[in-house]
Amino acid sequence: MWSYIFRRILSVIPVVIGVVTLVFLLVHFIPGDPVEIMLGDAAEAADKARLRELLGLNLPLLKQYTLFWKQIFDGTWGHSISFSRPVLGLITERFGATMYLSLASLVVGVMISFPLGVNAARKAGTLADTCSVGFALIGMSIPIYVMAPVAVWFFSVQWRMFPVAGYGTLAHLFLPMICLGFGLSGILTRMIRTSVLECLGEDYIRTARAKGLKERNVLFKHALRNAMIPVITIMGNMLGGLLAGAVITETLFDWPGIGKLFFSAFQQRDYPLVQGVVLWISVSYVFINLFVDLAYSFVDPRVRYDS
Amino acid sequence: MKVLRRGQLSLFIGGFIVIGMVGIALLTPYLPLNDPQSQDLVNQYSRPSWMNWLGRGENGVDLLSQVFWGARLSLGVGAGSVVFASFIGMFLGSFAGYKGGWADLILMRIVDLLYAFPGILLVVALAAVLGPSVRNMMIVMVATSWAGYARLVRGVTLSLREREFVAAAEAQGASTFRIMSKHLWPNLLAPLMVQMTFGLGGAILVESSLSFLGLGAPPGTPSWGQLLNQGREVLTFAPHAVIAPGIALVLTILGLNLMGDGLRDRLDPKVR
Repeated sequence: MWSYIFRRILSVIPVVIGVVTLVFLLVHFIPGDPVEIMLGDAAEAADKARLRELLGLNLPLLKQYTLFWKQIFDGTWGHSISFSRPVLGLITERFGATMYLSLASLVVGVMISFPLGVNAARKAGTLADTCSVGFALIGMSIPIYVMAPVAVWFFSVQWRMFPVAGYGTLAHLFLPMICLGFGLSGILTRMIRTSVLECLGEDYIRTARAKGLKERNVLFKHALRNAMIPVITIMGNMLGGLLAGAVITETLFDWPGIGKLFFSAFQQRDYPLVQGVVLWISVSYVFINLFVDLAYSFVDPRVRYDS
Repeated sequence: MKVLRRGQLSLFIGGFIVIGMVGIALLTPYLPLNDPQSQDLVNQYSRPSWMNWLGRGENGVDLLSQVFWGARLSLGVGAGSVVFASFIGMFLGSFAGYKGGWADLILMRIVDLLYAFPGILLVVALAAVLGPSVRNMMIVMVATSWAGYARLVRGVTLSLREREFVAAAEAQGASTFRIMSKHLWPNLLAPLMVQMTFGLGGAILVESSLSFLGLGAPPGTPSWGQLLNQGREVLTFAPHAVIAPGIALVLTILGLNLMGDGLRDRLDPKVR
């Protein structure tokens, strides 16, 4: 068990090194001179030289790379041009808002999809099942930037129930949370349905039924506990997707998280900040996956032997 | 039996929608539509009428022709990137899976690295540094999506290479390329087609997301994502500006998802 945990934690290191390297190279994919693109043609030569020095772009590539690592470890993560501040502080101030919305939508997604998915699996092939599958398909096919205006139109413009956008109160949370949660519930309903359906076909379910257990106990104690394992993995992925998708969600709802920061960063061509946000989200994602895997190894002993 | 019928039905409905959209995308230049670029500032965001069936959008452009030309962009960029990405994925994935060893190790580490970035993060970041243009959008989409195809193809190849017909070809002294092209690729087509159908839906979503964020098609190019972004600003008095591109996008994705499900039912014997 401990050796699995140890190996799994160690396996994060090469991934993080790879991610850092790719994020470092990002600025070098810019066609032309990054400094000229950041400051525009009209900039003074002295300003350009100063920025080039600040970003370390005058150094050889290998030096720049070690500088990049150094900035990660000294806790600045580079220097934002548009905010004139260290990148890491800007991110950590806003990450809470992003996590808050992401977790709330994940909860909504689970609350919608769990009853739908389980019910669909129990009554596979019936009208209830077809309806759930149809709902899932529609949920999967509506992107947030279509869903959000529709919800805003009804809930804010017509019925005046919730604010259009912004942050602060629970009322502000409602619309973005529901829109995101609805989108997630599509995939989740489908996953839960498939997973429960598979479990219901297992021998131990037949045994449980044969020994006269109530159907409720068969479902909740035997089927669901096993069916949830793949579903939890998907939720780890979804959380990552939410963090990445925050750039759209937070722009739509004027939510002051890292997604909005990301949006303003690339609009202002503040590339150090772009790098910082990309690095933060992808490293968070690596650790979310690590956490999910480790949580598994405690819950399900089989996982430790598989890998 | 019942499930099979459902699969056929979704293939039928999905195929119908997708063929309709492809038809629109192909025929748009020949249809008697208004010029998508021509502006009419006085009638900006006017409601649907006999002259403009879907109403007018920002700067008074005709929304019907914008949505039709947007279909051309979405499906064109989507199909182009999916074909390129799956071609790269098929080649690299089957090579790595068949050869194993170093080729496999290196390829899978690159695939793992690309998978370390969640959702649309890497797409947005790359598009942000390369700058908005249709060509850059295609580059970014291919660069980030080939890994999915490579992973799938490698997995299937690993099981295919143990089969007798590959051993027979090896015994006859067939070259690696011949085994790949004559014996592996034909057997990869079915799973690849399912993945490409879903991939096309994903690619269209990526295209409209990028255009929505201002990182995709340059301003002025008719695109669903851009229309949606402009429309949400005027939602209170011109909801039709969001409805038209919204329905077009959702319908296309829905059609592709239905078609993908139907194809999977038909082509993948593992699904009930």
